[in-house]
Amino acid sequence: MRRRGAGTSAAPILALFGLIDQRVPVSRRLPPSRDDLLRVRDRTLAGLAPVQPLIFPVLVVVTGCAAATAGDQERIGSWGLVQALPGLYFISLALLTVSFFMELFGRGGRERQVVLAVHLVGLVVLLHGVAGFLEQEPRFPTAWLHAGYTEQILERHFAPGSVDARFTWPGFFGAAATVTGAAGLDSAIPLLRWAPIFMVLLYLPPLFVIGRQLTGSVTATWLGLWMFLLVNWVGQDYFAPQTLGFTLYLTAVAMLVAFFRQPSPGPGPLEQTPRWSWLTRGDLLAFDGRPDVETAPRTRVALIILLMVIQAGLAMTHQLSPIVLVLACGGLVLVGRCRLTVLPVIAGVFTLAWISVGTTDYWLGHLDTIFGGVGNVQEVLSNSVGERVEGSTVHLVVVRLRLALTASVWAMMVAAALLLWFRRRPPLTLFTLGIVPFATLAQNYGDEGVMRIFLFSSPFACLLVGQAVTSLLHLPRVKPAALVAALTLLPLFLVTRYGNESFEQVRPDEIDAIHALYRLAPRGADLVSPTSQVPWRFTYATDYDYGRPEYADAFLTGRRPAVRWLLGGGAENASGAYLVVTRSQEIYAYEALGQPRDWFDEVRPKLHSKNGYRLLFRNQDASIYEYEVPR
Amino acid sequence: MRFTNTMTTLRPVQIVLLSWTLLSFVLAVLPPDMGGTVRALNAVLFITLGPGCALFLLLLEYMPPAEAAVVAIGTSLVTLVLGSQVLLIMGFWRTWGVTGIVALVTAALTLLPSLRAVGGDAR
Repeated sequence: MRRRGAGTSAAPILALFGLIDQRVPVSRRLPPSRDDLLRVRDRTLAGLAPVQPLIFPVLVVVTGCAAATAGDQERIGSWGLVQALPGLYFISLALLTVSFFMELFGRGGRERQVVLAVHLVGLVVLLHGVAGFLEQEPRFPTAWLHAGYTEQILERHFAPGSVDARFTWPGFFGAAATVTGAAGLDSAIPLLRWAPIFMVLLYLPPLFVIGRQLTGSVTATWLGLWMFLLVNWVGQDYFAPQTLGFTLYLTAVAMLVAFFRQPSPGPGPLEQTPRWSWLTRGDLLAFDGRPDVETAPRTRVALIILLMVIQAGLAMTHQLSPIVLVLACGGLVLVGRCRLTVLPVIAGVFTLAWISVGTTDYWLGHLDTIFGGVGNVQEVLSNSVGERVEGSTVHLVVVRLRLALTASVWAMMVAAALLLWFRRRPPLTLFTLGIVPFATLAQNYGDEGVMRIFLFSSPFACLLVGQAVTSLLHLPRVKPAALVAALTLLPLFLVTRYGNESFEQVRPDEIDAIHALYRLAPRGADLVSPTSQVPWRFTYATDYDYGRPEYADAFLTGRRPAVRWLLGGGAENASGAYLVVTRSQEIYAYEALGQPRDWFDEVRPKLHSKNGYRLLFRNQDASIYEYEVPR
Repeated sequence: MRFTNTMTTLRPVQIVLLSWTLLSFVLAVLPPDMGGTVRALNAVLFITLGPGCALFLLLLEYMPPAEAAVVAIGTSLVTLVLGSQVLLIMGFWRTWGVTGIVALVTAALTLLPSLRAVGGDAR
């Protein structure tokens, strides 16, 4: 017989699971037997069963985030963020990768998709949110600039196109200003830190649909998405128009390949079989991937209208993305994998219409910038690759790793396409989408041309590689090799993606200095920085004349005329001129521009009154000088 | 085409969406620095994905969930971009104006399933 009145501490827990009657006074309850406890355990485990596979990845991600938060920003060096991250962060990443591959190559079932999706979201948080967890201020000066452009619309309700080309494609800034205003914020700066996670998460649904539709395999799709997150080093996921443009681009492509790919005649408007496409004649090539998602004609009409609306929105948001979408539609029509044969024309008309009407403020003065490089592929390559391969020894290693990773992904894309071709599963659609961005080489997109091509090409390249690997899974050692490759890509991604962090991070003292600059300099003054890596214009974006020294390269070398004639020999600005030099600029000039490490120690002694300079502000990361043209 | 108004039979999810829309609009027009993180988080989700949530529920009748989600996200983002752009071009850009457009589209898409077409395949 059980003893009464003892062991009552477990009573509330047992009552929770309905194992004892709560109405019985506690003092009269029996202590739980071993059977009772075992039953509690079994019921608890049964209740947790649906979420059990999620517990491990979630714990790993939380641990990784906590580890990243504990990192030391001061330790960020020439190799970037990897130097500042604790070992636990890398262990978390590795564990998440192993867990993902065990799940991917393990059991099947619908719940597997949820578990894999949680892993993928976790990887996004760990890889693309790491700087947000570690650094005190949101990273990347250009993101701060975009916060300033957002504030311009929020406060003044218009986008002055003559100030910056980006204002003539203001779709992103208007959208961001709406979010900022509705959030009750004075500035978009609080949004910068988490923008990369949010935007990369938005990429995933369209990429999943594209992958599942074109590879015909969910396993290949997950594999491709995992790889995409690990090779996407270009960093175009920050608070920028490109990010929104890329999301809309992927959405439009996903709609095209899911609903309008099969060369069967559709009864709806604009839907025609591309009969003239030589690739589809006589079934020269087998149809790749899954058949179109079945929809009623009325739904397809709505989808076609939506595609046009997306193209219109895209045309007003970003310079390059609508052009790539026109190329992608055109490419798919050419190879017989899009039956909306008129869509590329309509998309092109939208794009040209906005350039003709909406961006006149910009292109009237920059025709040479826009059309100067058309057809000159060598110049474009030189601008976007050659000019980046300079700087310190470590920086050169980082740049070469990026180039090697980029080239490897493209090489693997070609190899995967050939492999699938030989296996009589030609991946025509994915391959077309992977190579059409190369057509943008015909136009000079500044020093980021090849980066943008990789951005638009890499998702499809990764899905192709995922498909090829999945087709080889029956072979021994392919699964372990895939896991090893993914583990190898982790540190490689962190170095290539965050290898510039020594000058792309934003230090709190630099922000303090810029605030001081705005207090000291009257509106309309010339504000000058020796290099582009300065987190300014996050407010008063259009109230000052922001610029670089007239002889920027010579200024960095400390040549006296360049220092003495900061603004050239032009007329003096009545509101004055101010020079701001930050630690990030000092590091940038050394790491990326090939200047000596102590270049500013050479320049600083020359910033004296005889050359027109007066030190106004100084902290450990920045100096501000007032400048007057010397008499 | 004739429509019958079945607004009296709103589903719980529609009521939740309409309430969220109304609440988000009210929060958006509050003075700055009120509402804190909850307001900020709600604004990010509603302004970027509000119309998408309503459309997603509507599209589930017409296509699989993954495709519906993609179409919904695209529609949501493009509603925000074009709504903002139109007001910018007209010189009427205001936070409450764009939020109003987003809220109206969300409300319309939420109520659309309740307006059933009589006769023929609604798809």
